[in-house]
Amino acid sequence: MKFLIKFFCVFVFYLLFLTNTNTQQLQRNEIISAYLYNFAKNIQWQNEDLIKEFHFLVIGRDESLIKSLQSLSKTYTLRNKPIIVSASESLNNVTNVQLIFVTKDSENKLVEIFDKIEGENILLVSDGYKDKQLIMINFKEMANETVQFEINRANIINQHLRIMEDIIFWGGTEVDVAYLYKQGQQSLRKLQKQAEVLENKLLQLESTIDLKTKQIQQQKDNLAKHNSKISEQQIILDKQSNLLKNSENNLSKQIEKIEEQQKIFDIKSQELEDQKEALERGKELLSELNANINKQNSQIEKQTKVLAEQGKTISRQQDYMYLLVIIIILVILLVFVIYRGYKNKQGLSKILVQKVKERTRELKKLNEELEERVKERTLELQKSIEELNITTKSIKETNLELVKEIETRKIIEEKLTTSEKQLESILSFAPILVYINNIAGQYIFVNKEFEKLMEVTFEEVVNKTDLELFSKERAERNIAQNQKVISTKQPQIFENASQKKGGTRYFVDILFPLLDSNNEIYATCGWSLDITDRKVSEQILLEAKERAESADRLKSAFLATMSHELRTPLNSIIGFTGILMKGVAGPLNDEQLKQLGMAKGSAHHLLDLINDVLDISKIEADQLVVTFTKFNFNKMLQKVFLTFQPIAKNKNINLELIISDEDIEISSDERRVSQIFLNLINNAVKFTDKGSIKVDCQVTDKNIITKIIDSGIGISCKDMDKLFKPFSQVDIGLTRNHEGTGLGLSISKKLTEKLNGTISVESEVNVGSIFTVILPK
Amino acid sequence: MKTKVLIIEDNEKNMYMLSFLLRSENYEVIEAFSGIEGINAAINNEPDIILLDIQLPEMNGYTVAIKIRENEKLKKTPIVVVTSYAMPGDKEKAFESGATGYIEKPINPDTFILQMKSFLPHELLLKIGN
Repeated sequence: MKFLIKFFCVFVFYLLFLTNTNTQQLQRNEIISAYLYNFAKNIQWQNEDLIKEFHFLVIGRDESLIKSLQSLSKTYTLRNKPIIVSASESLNNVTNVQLIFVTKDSENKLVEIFDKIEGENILLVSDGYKDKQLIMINFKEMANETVQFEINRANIINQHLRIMEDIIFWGGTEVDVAYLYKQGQQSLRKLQKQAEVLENKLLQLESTIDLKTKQIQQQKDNLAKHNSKISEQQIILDKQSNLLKNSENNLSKQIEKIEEQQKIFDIKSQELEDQKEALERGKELLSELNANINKQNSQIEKQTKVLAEQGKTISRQQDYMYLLVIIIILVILLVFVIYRGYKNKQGLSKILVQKVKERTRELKKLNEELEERVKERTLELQKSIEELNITTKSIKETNLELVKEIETRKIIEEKLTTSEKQLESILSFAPILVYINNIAGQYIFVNKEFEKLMEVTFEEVVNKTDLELFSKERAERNIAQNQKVISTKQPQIFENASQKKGGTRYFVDILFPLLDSNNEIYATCGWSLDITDRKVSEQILLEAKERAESADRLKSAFLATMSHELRTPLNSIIGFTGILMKGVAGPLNDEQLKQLGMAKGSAHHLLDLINDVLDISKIEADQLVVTFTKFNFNKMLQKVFLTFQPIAKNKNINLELIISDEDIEISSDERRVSQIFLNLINNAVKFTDKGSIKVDCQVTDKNIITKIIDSGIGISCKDMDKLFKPFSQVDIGLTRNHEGTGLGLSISKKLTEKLNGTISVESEVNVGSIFTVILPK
Repeated sequence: MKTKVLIIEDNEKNMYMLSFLLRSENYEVIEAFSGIEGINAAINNEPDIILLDIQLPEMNGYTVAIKIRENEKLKKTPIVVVTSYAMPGDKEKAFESGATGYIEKPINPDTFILQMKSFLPHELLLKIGN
């Protein structure tokens, strides 16, 4: 019997143990299936009428869960519509379902799934996923192996899904959205900072690019100046060569003239020589005549000698005949003979002298004629010599001019060479790639930077085309770009990428035509600027911007949800307390009224808080819109002022408004301006326990200056800095006495700035504070 | 004859509060908890004024307003949007969809009826006065 009882106990224990483990193994799949079914039951999809069957998609390899879900779908329907369960490991077709369950082993796909289905009206259920920002409903593994889940309402609402309230009751918790929001804001701020840094970098890069572009422009200008100088010098040269040609023509004409005159001169010389010859002949004739005269003279002398010998003979005969008669006869004879001789001699001489005289006269005449002729010839000769001199002089002058021209040409040529050299160095050492291709596409110039970056030398590329130097693809691209410049005759800008050892590098290529004096293209010149750094930072910036934008979208969705979700329950709290206090639902006693009043006050405080938080969030997200319209500033301020009269009276503080009676018109956002003054006067009343509060309003040409002067607790110097920062009610110890969000001043400051005004504060501890608001009219 | 008010509101507590407030002021209340239900109720009952929430299941308040305005008989019926949406552009969107008025939640029970009355046509105000 004992044995039997013992056996039974062991059996029961064994059975219980087995069943227990079995149920535990089965339980999780079944519980998750059941939960999934119940989630679906408590979620409403958009346009559910149009849905014929509900598709549940399991992403992952949990076969037992799939089986359990499939068996569930066979027995149950959802709002009378069948459920279809499918499993997949790929992410195609995820958008055509109503519910997606991601198993734990597939949680690495969750981010991708979340992005794919965002806003698609699909419920995403995950298992044990850690990042609460990316969940809608998530199962949590608890220490005791029970299954619980958490809900992120914001994400569900974002999917246009509607959740029933009951969902929380069966084991769910809600994700702390405020915490998520804070985290989101922090990461947004970080991203914004990163974006700012990158933006600064970009700005710097842009400014260096600007600088370089300016340098290039300057070099371009210099180039243009040099070119224009060269063309001017060319024009001068052309003119001078024309002048030279003209003077050469003149010279050749003059040379021709000289040659003609030379000819005339030669002819005249010839004539002169002829005349000389004639003169010599005359002279010969004269000498012949002289010789004849000499002969005749010598004959006369001979005859005279003969006569003298005859005389001698006569005298000897006288000696012989001593007789006077003889002698007389002889003397008479002698006298007679002498007389006759003398007479003869005298006649002959006379003829001779006459003849010589005639010849001499003729000769003289001839001589005179000759001399005259010679004189004439000499005159003519002198004239032609003078003409020759003049011509030689003009030739000399022209020669001088020519020499001068040649000198100026030399100077111009030197200048030209210098400027060419200058240009070449400017291009060679420019910090960008410079290259020139002729019309055939051959390289005719590359600078040092080109050699360095392309790892080639000028000798290696000169007279080669792109096809011989680069890959086919790149060469064709370069040729096409060059052709565009040639066909349009206009500069072109291209952005090109090149594969280098260190990765892809990006270049801006500026190609422009080089024109000759006839405006025809003879080459294309290119400048290449490496912009890889800029490209990379642009890319980083773009990514950062996308991240920031997605965070911003999340924030906006969050704001909208917060605004709605927080106000909905407050609506019924404030509504019902109001109705109760009105006594519509029945009479109340004093204590009930007092307590309800407290509840109502707290609810309103909560509402103020929500409104302030929303305002500050809107301002920070730059979603706050102000609208400028004209309104009466006096009325607005008086209205605000009157709101505080009862409280001031209660606290026994003197509240005073100083404003002119004349209407002050202002163009601003009335609601926001009154919000600013509500905040400031409220603060003054809150922090002042005795004394007075003065609101003093002065109008200038352009502004309205309003001072809120209180005799309250004041603000110490060290607290001034954080005064206008959100959530910083200065003295933490005060918060218990002074209810408030700590957002009022921060909102006021931001609103004032948004309305193009300023807000400032002066204060002394235990004396009071003066807040000054300046708003443009 | 009582003034007929159609409330289209999905939150049961808010619905209860609004109908209680209106009934206590002697209005006839028709309740609709979704947009489609609201459109049908408007066509069938031809209310004097419609109070419309924006966040509604299946079809949002903007669409509901547009659909109501498509009906010839409801072209002039005042539609007052009562909503807790407070983001920039919400109000403009409501008026673009055909709304006559806009009351922000949370409502103030002391002034709500007065606010609503201001959107009623003149003759109806006289009738209520009677």
